Amino acid sequence: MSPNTDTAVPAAPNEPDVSSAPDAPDAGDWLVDAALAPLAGGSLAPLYAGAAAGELTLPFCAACGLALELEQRACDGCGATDIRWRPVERAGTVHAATLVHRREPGLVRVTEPYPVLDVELTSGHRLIMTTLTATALAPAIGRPVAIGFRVVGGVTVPAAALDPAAALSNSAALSNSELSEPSEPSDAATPDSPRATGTAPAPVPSETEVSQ
Amino acid sequence: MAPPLEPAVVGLGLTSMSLSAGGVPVDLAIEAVAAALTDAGLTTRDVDGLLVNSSQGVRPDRLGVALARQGGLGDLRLLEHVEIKGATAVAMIQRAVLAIRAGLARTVVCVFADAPLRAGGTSGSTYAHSGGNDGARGLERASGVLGSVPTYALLASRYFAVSGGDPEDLCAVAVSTRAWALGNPDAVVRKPLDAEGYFASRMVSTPLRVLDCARPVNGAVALVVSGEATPGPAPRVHVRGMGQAHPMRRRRAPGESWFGGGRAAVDGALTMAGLTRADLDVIELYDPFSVVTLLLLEEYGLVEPGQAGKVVRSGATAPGGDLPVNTGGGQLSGFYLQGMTPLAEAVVQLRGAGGARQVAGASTALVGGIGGRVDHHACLILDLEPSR
Repeated sequence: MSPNTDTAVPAAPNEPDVSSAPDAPDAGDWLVDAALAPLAGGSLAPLYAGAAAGELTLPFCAACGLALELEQRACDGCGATDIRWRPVERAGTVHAATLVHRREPGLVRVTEPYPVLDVELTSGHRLIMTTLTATALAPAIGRPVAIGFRVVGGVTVPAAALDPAAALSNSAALSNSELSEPSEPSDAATPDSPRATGTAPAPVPSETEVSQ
Repeated sequence: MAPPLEPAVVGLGLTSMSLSAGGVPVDLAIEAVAAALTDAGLTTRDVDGLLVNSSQGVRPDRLGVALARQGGLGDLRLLEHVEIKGATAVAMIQRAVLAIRAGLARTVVCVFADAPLRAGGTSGSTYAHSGGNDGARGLERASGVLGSVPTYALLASRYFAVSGGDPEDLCAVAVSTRAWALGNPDAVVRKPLDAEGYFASRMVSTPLRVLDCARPVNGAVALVVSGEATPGPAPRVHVRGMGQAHPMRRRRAPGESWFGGGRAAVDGALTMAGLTRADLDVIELYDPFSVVTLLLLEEYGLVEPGQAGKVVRSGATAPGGDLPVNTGGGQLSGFYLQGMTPLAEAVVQLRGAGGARQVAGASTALVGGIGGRVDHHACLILDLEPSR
């Protein structure tokens, strides 16, 4: 029995799928194998198309403007079924955070724990993402972040920059003319946080920001 | 039309709980159903209803209504595959009771079976490879959210920020639950645990350690619900109250996305039963992660807001305490068979069959089942006394 049988499209380890974004660079994501590339043409197609162009594109009710969930098909505010995906400000704050220690062989590429964040965007949406680059800490709740992008198997996905300047300089899939300014310097919340400095895992794992 | 007796749980059957690969859900289900019918003093010929609960996800071997044919049952008047994720097992009992009251069936078997442990991989690996690449889940998985632990770790992170809880609270839940498991021969982890042992356990996703996580097993549990007099020796366990709550928390500001809104299920069940929280002798909760026990104790109004950690650290939920919770070791130390874990333990306790873990005089139990990311709540008030 294959462990992959739950998947709608079975994982294909070590077979990067770049067909959906042939122009994107595929140097390899810092965190996960290309087998975890999301389905670019699936139900979140507007998000991935926007991300490839450097925009964070999320769903709203076209009638009343309410921020909707990624898979919502009717507005819970007014009942309308016309959903409009549009770019939002690439800024938010950490709503919840964890440092994942379990690293599934073949799917996770790093050798050190990695962060997963639930980010509350200034648009109101909450979006789960990892960081733009490796970092040994999970950031504190309330800390401002900017949103940049990673490329996984040719598909561009949002990622949080703990140092907003990193998001601004990230060239994976950005169109610089579309950038929005981060709301606050991240140092305001956690002055002792390490900066994400590159694609290598940070050398000193520590979990002082998120209690164990 | 009305049944001769109030619908009650009259049979309980468990397979052995295996920590190694082997068995397929349909065979495990047939074994549990046979055990439950024997326990009730019945045979398959007495059954006219079957409700089936499978594990989530589309696996080719998952349990379905084909069990009726494969399991050798006769003609049925009620046959459904019930699906509200983890809350299904509890909801099946609700469905069975309502069907019997309405005269749609006389004796209904409810069964869940799962076999997530497979040769050549751990259950963690199985879950890490599950979920697909479409929709919100596909985006999460591309972000490193593999399996369910990181998701519940985010929930824990947020819960701590709101409630003021900390890892000592998680430790207290794990230790309390393990203490109960020591008295349960069906529990798969029966090694004494203290705080030192807890904090020495492997971190999976902060703040959740491996001892904060449920223990998946290959196994099955079946219950028989009947409005007929049955020959089995065990006392009838009546369903005096039931409720569900499906809060539509949204993934947007303001308001909490990760928890809240489940209390109505318990309030409704208690009202139906004509009982209060003070009448509850044992609390059996769906506890896939230690943080969920803390969360549900608060959300269901069983402790004061923000006090769950303090209450558990006081020993109140542990053996000898005055708020016994997950008295068979729960899913953390007992076995993870989704909603059947708390349900089976409640029946054992009310029957007085708990042996070394028996809560003296237990006659009223709350069973709380959750599904999704604590999105679905289904609960029961079980009682030795009928409500009519």
